[in-house]
Amino acid sequence: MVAVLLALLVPLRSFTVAKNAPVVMPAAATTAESRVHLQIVSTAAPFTFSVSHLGKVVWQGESPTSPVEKDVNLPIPKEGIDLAVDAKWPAGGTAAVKLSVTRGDEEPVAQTLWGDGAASDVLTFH
Amino acid sequence: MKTFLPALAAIGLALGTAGAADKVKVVSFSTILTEIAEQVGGGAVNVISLVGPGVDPHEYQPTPGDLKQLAGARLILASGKHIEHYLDKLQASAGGDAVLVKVGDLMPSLKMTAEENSNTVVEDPHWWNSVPNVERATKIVRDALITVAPSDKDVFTTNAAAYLTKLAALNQWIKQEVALLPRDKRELVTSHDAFQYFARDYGFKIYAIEGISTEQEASTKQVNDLIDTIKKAGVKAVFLEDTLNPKVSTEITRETGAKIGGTLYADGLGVGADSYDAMQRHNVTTIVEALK
Repeated sequence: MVAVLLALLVPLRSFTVAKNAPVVMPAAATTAESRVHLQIVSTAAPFTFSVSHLGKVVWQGESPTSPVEKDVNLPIPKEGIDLAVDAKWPAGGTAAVKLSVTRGDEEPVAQTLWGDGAASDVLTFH
Repeated sequence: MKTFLPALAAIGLALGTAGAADKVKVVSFSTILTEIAEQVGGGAVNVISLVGPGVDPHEYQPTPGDLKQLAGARLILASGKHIEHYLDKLQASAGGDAVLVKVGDLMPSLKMTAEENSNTVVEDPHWWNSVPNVERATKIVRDALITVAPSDKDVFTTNAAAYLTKLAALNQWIKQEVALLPRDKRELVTSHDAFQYFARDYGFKIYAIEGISTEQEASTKQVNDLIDTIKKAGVKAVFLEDTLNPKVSTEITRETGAKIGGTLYADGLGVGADSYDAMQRHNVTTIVEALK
């Protein structure tokens, strides 16, 4: 008798407990990459530099002269992008780098970073 | 040795290590302001914190015992921006000559719609969730301490400069960490609307379950609207707060498929975040890990 009641409990429970349909999160839209022209102008040379996006280095180098330029592919959503910029001047002293970002035929957007022997910051480009 | 002891005492005085009776008594109604006052005041101040870690400042009401603590205070520090509704009454009943500084009132406000009346604009009181605002607060507290104890000006100036250097490093660290998230993924669902200053500084969009105060719960319609918004936006995580009930947040995750991203310190220091630096590092690490 007990076994029969127990056997009945399982199907009965399935009628009384609400079943939540699994919620499917919409797939996060990924921003397509686009060709971006980067230019760094430094007030002093030689200098070393690196530019990172989302924790990955997209451009780094050491240059005896200024400016330096490179084309990279980056996803740029309408909210803009953050680029982490590091620069070092072995000669020391106060110096600055200006990073210009140009997307397609758009006007370049530039940000400047000052430092004493070295500079490091996250620059936002809209 | 006889000549050494007076020399040591003289050095102690010069460094501002006054005895308890000689210290400037400061009473604070904010965990963040308590830390700032201790950091800037150093050995020259005795800071009494009436709102302790983990206490919701929106709900806090001073007790008769708290009123007694105000006796002899030379400086009272409040967050301002109307978060301490009781303050004017409290100062009047406490009497005394203490200087009251509503620190938040001395910095620019973000304006928000009042929960009880959508036609009314109010000031967002959560200025401490912006490191640049805490830098402003440090300068305000430094200047207030110099006003009440001008003889310790050098101590306050030196200590404030050291604390400001730490805050600048913290701000830099936050910028580096947040830069790991694409700007179009910086969406925060929080228990109450306490992170607008953070959002402004670091490029986030906020969806809050409750308004700027924790005193009024969200209506069913507000929760349903938020669920729709979260589904449409594909927000990945909902964050809890250390001083609030997680019930509604948990329900929202069930309805939307978003995950619980962790618990944030929204209204000040708490258990497990005993300094402003620890509070911000915890919040930022939790947010970045959940949204990555």
